[in-house]
Amino acid sequence: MKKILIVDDQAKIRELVHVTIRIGDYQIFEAASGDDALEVAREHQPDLIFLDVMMPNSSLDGFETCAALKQDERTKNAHILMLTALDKEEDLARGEEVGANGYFTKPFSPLELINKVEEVLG
Amino acid sequence: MNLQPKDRSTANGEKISSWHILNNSAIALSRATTIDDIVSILIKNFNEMAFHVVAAEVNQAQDSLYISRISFSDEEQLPAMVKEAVLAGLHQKTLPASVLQTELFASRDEKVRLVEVSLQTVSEKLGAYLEDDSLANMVRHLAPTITFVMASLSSGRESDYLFYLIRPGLDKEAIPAITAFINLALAIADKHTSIHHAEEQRRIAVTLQEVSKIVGSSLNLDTVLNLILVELEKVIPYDSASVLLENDNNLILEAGRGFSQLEPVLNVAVPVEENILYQELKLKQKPIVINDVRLDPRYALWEGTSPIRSWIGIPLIWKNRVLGQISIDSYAENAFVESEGELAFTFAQHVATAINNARLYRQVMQTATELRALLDSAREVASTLDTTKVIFSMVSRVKRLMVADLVVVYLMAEETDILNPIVRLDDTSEPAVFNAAGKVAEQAVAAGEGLVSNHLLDDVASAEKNSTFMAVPFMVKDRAIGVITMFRWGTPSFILTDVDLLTRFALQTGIAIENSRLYEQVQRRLTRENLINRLTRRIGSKLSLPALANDIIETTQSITGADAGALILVNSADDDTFLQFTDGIPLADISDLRAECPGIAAEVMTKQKILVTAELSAETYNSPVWFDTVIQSVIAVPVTSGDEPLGVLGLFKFSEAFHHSSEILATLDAIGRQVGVAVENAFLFQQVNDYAHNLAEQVEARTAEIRSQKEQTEAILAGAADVIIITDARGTIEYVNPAFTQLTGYFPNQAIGQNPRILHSGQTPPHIYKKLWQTITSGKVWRGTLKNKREDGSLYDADLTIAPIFDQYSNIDKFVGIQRDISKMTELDRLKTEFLGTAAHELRNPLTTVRGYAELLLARSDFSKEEIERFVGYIYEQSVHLTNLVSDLLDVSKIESGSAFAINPKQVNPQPYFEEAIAHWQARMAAEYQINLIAPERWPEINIDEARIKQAFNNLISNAVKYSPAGNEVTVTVEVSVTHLRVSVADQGIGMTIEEQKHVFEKFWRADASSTAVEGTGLGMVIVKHIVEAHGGKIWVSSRKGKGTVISFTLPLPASTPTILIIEDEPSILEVEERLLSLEGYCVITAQTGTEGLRLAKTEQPDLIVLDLMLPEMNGEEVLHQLKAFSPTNQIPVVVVSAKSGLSHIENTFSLGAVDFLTKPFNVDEYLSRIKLAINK
Repeated sequence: MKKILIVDDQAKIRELVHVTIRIGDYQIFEAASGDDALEVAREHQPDLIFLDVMMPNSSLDGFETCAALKQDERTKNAHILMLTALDKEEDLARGEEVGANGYFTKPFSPLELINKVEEVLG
Repeated sequence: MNLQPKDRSTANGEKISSWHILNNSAIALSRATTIDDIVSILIKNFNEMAFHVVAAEVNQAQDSLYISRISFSDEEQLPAMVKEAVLAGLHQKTLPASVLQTELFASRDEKVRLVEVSLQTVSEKLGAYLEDDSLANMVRHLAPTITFVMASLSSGRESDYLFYLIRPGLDKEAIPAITAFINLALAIADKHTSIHHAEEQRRIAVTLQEVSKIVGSSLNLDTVLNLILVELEKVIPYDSASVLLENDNNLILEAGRGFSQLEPVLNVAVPVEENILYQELKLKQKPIVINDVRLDPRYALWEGTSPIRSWIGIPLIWKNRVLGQISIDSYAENAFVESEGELAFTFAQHVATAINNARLYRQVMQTATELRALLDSAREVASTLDTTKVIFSMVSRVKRLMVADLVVVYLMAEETDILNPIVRLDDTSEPAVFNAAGKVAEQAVAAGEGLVSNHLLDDVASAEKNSTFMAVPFMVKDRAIGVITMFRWGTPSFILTDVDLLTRFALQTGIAIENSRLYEQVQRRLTRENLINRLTRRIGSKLSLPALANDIIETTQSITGADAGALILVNSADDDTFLQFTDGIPLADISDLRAECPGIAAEVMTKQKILVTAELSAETYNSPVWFDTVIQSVIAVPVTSGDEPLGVLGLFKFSEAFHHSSEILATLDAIGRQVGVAVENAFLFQQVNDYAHNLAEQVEARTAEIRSQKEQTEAILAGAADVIIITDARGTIEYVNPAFTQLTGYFPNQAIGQNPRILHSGQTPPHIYKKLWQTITSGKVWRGTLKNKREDGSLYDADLTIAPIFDQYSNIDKFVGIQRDISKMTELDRLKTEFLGTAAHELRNPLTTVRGYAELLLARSDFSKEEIERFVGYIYEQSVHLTNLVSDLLDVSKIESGSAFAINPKQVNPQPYFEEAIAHWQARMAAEYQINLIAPERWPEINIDEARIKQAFNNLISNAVKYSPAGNEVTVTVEVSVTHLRVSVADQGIGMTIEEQKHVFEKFWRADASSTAVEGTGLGMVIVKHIVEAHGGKIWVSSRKGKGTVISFTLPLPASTPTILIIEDEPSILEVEERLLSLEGYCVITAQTGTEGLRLAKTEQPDLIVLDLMLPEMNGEEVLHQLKAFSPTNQIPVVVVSAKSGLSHIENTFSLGAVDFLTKPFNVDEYLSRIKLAINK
């Protein structure tokens, strides 16, 4: 079974994503900060990670977390999708820099989300 | 000799042999030494031969015979009567040769010949010639026919001798004997002649040698010339002789000998062109001999009767140059022969060198004397700055050197062009001479160089002799500052070399005069400047009018040397009020002088110009009746303040005219204006009492003052909120307004004279500046934005408009730049952009929830009822949240742009609003929270916008509740202080760390977002802060993590009137300031010492302090320092007032922390406006 990790500081958004992807057959994990995300990812090695960019109360922001994940042997193979409210070019470029595999701009369409998941994970 | 002795037949028959006679005479002849002896011997022997002899000297040039001897023979008895007749008729007479036989001259070979002619014929011819018939008697007595022998003695000299021998019964046989005599005499004569000639030559050679030696032994020209003349006589005997030397185209008689009256003739200079003989001598360089000067047209006879008849002129030649001539005179005609001329010429050549040497020596000595005199003069001139001394010393020196009868030095008066005689050394004491000297002086000034004039006294009766004038101007920088004139009776007249010499003296003296004049001027100016500085200082510190007036009169009197002064002032506001102060003028009892004010004062006041009169009585102005002394001259100075005439300052001199210059007048003019300000202040001081009673009049007066264009413009510039910079055409700053200082931090003294590039931050690309400069120098206006730098280094964005200003010739005269700090605007822009970005960002999360869930609910059907309800709840919640967010965002946006978030305060009692709010919340929270209120008995009224205060208060309580776990208390405390109402909202919630407290009032900052039940917008505290501060209050937080948080804010109680503390020791000034400020509506407290001032500042905490720097005990700077060193006084703005206006002073006070600096005496309006400015800062 494929594993998916949802990282966002807002509970309602985590729930939204969870509810959206539960239609598929995935093992779903959640984290509320960058540090938590790293811990969970290293332990469970998810295949796909939804990663929020803006997490003000976290010591690592989304990009830093992504970079860390990609550098870690254990987690570098995960497919990372950024959830960002930012859509400026610099931010998208930054995303590429740190190795993100794709992104969704908030507010995103849940249906598109689940399609993407199915596309990536089959 | 083979002549037969001839018998002579006598009456008594005695026979004397002719040969015997011949022998005797041969012996006698051989002993003869001169031609004269020879002739005498001949005649004697002829007599012994019974001949009567008539001897005549022959003058070949004039073809005449001069009967020099007649001798009768004793043998032949002639009656005495006959002898007498003959003697009378012939002796020592000159006859033309044609009277007797001319055949003699046809053939000179025949020494002796017998002539047979009728005595009758001879006597007739002679008689006709002589007009004498004494010879007729002789003829009657003698035989009808006569023969006589003509014998000629030609000696080789100029004159031959002709002997006429007459004897009755003479026949040819006598001829041989006579011939023998003649031949013998001739031979002897010849011998003598050659001996004589050789003697002559030897004598001449020796003399010439002697002459050379003697003459070369001296270098003194007079000695040399006299020696020459003495020696010359030995060579050529003369009656008188003279030496003339040429100098400067004149022939001067340098030495003479043998003249009876030499003195007047010596040193007379005759122009060369008038002397024909000299010119001929020069041209031909050969001697000229004249036998009778009366007959020779070239010879110009001296005046008076001159005994001179013969003349030799010899040119003095030295190395091909003619130095002059020697003239040799004889009182006899034909005294000189050509050979003597040649001799004299040789003589002259020998002595020419000596003469030239002596002449050169004389010139050198003369030059040396002149140079020494110049040197002495220069040394003396350099050692003194006293003009008169300098001139006097030069004059005496020059008079000695050049031998003058009168020397006058004139100096040109400084302001006029009149020559005033300064020094006069006069040996003539004749007014005509002195007047003529004046004329010559004027001519020299007009010509700009030295000149000689010899005919000025020609028409003056007393001038029988020659006279000569010379004048040389003192030239300094092509301007004549004076003249020196010299006069001399008689000869020689001044020549060009004299003018050169005098010019050299004049040059030295001219410079010395100029130097000493400049020195005097500088001295005078320094004195005046000192006096003026003193006056200025004293003016600045006095407000008492009498004392001020006294100072003014005293000082101006010193400057101008006046004997008396008067200051008359008219109060412009009240035309009747009239004040006067005098010094030195004796006055009787005077009630109102104005009616009798001299016309001068009135004129000066209307025309606003200085008036100077040299002769008071002569002017058309009325001489004032109240002067009982005679006033000679007046200077009247207008006293003005701006354009307002305040009065007249009069300076009087009793017995002479003022010595004034344009410089002094300019000084007085400046004083008049300066005095005007001081006087005006003093006036104000006296009028402040009236001011209180008549405020409306004061306002009108103030308005009238601002009427002047300059003040108007300055007021506009000073009051403008925009920054205004005015530069000259090259971009150098000339003026900056107060707004400039406020924006950039540069004070005017730091900016003026600089280029605006002091504001360059380095962050604006240089091409913009280039374009800027190009645009404005081509006469167009430039608008744009620059990044500028303040004095403290901080940067700001400036919106700039620069425009050129043109003068009347359409040339760019100045640039005006108007600047606005748009940093705020730029910052606002930036914030707005940032804010929008952040806001948009903030909105996205709730929107994600709304959209997401809505989409899911629509698209999928795998949700339970419970889930559906929950999800819809989320959607609703987030919509509400979004609504709050939007509304808060709008508020914050208004706050940040500073625009529409206005508050509308009304004076109300806030108690009901607070109590209502608390009640509302209590109702909402009911069981979970306890909200307490601790409030005073009596709430004061405050100015608040109730809606906004309610909003803020609600926000605070909402937060308190949000961040406290249920069951805890929220306590609201309200306290009243003197100036504020303080409200605190305290909770017992999670609290915040020090770090977190820092972010409380930041946008979108939430404390621990995850743990709230009700999501906040993160903007609440921002809005609260703004509301509180808009009311003039402060808000702050204090918190402990885990214990709780207290948010406190204050709201100010209604403002009281601003209090101003004046610290000033001079009572009069203090009173003025206090009255002024009170009338303006301020609450004023005063202190007269620094210590007292500090105490009051601390206890009363005024809104502004006006501090005088000149305080007793503790000085102003010290007070300022103390004020600024401690709180709370360091918050109070201080305006410094001082009479000192030095730049370092001002800078010092500003660096100590003062906000403004006023100089005394100050303008009332400026004072008030600056106070206002300072308080409102």
